[in-house]
Amino acid sequence: MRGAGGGGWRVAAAAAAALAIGCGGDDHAGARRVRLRLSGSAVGAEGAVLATQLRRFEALHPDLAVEVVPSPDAADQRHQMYVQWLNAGAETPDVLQLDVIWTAELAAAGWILALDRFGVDAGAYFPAVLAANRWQGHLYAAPLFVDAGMLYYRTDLVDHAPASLDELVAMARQAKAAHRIRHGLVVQAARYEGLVTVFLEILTAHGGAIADGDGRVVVDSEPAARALGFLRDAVQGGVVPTLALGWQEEDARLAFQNGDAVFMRNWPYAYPLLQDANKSKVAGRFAVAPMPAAAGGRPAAALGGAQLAINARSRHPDAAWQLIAFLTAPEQQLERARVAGEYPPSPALYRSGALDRILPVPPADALRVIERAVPRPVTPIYAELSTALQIQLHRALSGQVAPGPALATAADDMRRIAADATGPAPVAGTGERAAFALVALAAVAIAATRAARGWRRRPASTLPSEERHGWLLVAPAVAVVAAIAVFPLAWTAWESLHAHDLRMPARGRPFVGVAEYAALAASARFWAALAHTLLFAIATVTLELGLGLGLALLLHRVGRGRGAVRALTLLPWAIPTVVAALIWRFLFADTGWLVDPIRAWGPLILADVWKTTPFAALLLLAGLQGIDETLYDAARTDGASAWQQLVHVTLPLLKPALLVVLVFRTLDAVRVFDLVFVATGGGPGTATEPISLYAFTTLLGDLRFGRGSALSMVVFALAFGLALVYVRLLRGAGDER
Amino acid sequence: MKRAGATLVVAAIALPLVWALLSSLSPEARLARPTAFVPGALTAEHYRALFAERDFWTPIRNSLVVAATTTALCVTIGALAAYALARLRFRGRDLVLGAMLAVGMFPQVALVSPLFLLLRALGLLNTYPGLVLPYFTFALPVTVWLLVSYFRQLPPDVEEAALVDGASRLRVLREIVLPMAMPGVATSAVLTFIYCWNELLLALSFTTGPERATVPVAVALFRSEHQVPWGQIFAATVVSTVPVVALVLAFQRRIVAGLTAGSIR
Repeated sequence: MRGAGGGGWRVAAAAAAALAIGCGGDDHAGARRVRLRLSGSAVGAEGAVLATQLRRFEALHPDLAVEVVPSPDAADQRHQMYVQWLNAGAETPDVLQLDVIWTAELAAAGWILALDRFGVDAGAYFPAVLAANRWQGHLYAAPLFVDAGMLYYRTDLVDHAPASLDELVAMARQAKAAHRIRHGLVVQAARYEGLVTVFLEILTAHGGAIADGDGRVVVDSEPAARALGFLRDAVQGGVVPTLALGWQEEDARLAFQNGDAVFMRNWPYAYPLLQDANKSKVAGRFAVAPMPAAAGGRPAAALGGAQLAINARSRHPDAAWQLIAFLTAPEQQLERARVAGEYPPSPALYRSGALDRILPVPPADALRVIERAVPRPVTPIYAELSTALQIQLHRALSGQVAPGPALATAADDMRRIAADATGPAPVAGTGERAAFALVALAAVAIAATRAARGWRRRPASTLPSEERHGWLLVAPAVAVVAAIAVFPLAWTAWESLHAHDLRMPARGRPFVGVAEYAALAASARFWAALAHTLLFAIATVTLELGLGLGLALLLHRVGRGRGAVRALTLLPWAIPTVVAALIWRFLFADTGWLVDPIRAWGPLILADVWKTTPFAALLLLAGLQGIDETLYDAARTDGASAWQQLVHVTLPLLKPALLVVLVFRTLDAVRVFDLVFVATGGGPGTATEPISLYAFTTLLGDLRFGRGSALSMVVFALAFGLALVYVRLLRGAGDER
Repeated sequence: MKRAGATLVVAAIALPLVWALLSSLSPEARLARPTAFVPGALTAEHYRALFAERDFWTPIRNSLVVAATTTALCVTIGALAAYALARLRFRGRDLVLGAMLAVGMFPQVALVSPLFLLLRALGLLNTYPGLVLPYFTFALPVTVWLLVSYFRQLPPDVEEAALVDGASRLRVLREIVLPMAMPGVATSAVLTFIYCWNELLLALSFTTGPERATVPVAVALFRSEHQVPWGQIFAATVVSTVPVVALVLAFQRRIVAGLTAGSIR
């Protein structure tokens, strides 16, 4: 941030920005009511309850108005959005609904307020829930509801809940075969946070843990390997469908709701939805039980749930607290349990009898499950630790690596992340700084001499007026490009030499030399991403050139209707890549290809070929149309076959056009992002993750700007290196003519 | 043989699109079996839900504002620069042309971190200017290159005659060159608009909420909300495709000419 420009300039620009967006103002400009903004779930029963409760709150507090800010329902996406909001210094939303695993991160970054001064009654809540909302001794969020993973089972297919995981598998297999049900057990096994909660339950059931009491990572233990082996066998043995590797909560719920599964692991929210006879085929034919244990472990539910926190920049913290106090009061908790199936975070309610007719299980049983629920590690870097674990879990479940080695890699990665975050940041010495200054100077010098050469290449007979007018006319474009492309690129290079972590503003931005590049060079994920990028580029460009040439030759021969065909061939090129990716993703949704580490490339490559071959063909067609027909007449006179004409006349003359297509397609392919982001998300594991996606996730998901910038520089170097090679090739092709 | 090949190609290109259109009109129950291709009862329900239950107008408005603003500014700035680069002889001309080409080849992700920090410092994250400015990075080079090649195709005689008659350079540009170049300007505007309309990475990075999300962002983040509402997703894909399809059908000849001119030289 330092060196971003003069202060006055910044203030002026910010003022212009405020005018441009027309924001601010409505809180103080004449409006007597304080307007609070709350970000939370706005969909389904949860959203309906919230809306009712907010209306009641506004009736009780006429001076306050509450507006719900929509945010994605998927937890990982909502997390990313919150981080972007808070990190950007936004004053709203005032109140944020948090997942239980985010509180420590947001608190450590100083983005949410400590609630101590409002006097929260600590005795009113489950201790584990409160513990997850504390950071360095202070409470940062008030519990809204708790979640605990549960086992749903079909009472019409099995007559009792399984007592152990082995019995669960046996019963699932037996009932699946006897009643011709598609799936034995459905779970959430996409590469996202839900997979960690499922694994945590199986892990505890086998006597393992993610971290020990002191926060040390122990996920590479022997019980952990057995737990992951159990899950992997369930997938490979057909008890858990392979498709579940792409499933989140709602996918599993829909399968169970359609009567396609004997068992389901899910959160309590599914219960009221499954009991809705209008939409559910299993209403009245299922029950819930605690997740069972395996030998050597204990039955366990993963602890989840939602809490409310106050944005540290909110202009109305006291009003925000009034809202939180209202929404977390017992009356609202009971209503939420009744309408949305969300469990209250206050143990007293379970003992009071108020929940007797509301919960699907006897409150005493629910109490026992929640009191024994397993929390996830409470740490500001939880999100990044979890991502490392998710990747390896997903790799093991999709058969890319055995459970033991997968967990060993996960543990290594997690320890390294923890060390990066807690250890003293490495600072490069002055010698190293001097070396970088020299390299930078050398680079500038080289660029300057090259530029000077271009400068001296003075065109003949330059008029002074042309000189002046020329620069006057290009000045705006040059200024814009310098300001938003050239200068930022230098900034990226500079940033990549720093350990800049936006989650830890207190840490500053220490200079670390090439440490981030060294870390990448030591990371298997980086080399895999590089390989994926190249593989994708080679495969798609080869296919697109070959098919594009064929298509161009075909179009060249087609006389009638060429206009219509041309319009049609332009369509795939013109539609958004996001749309093309979604179409192909859906086409392959039920095949299981998208969660197979090898076959997932099929839809990706097909989608790219479908989208860009027509474009390549049009460029080649233009080249073909430039070829003199008399050359073919001459060749035919000499008795050349069609094939000989192609090889000896068409291809040599088409070489410049072919090279242009090659250049454009390769440069596009090495920076591929949209397609993979939408179609596979880089999965399964990271089996299809290209380097742009890795860079994006590191930048805006993990907020590690130093490392992410280093990754971006690699993408840049790749594209730039290829461009240089191609420029040489093109010049060569030009000279031959 | 030729006919069969052409039919096959047309089918391969068109079928996924037709199928997306049909899916957007099929009841949710039939979408649960994605292999079912045969159209049955059609419904507009997904389109209703897209605009009534989910505010899809907002991303459409955002995309229109951002794409139109970027296009207007880029074509204006780009046309001035392109004319100078095509017609005037001045020191550093090749340098500027080369720099424009190089910037056009930048991978966008290489600019995300500094632009994010810059926009954050200026308070421009999640605003229209905060999208338009980054969009210049890819839109301006494309515009300049297309227009340079277009200007070079124009006959210089009229301009030279006017210059000899004593008209100023700027007047010649305004009154003679630009009217003649309108088709080229329109083509580059159409192409720039399409590129902006389809852009995902920068929009994903610099918007932080639904109020400024563009169509590709809304469509890309659609999928994991709630229960994979495929019907609505396909309705959204059809809606987001309509503007570019309309542009392609209206300008197809020019687009092809523009693309080839811009790249072959």
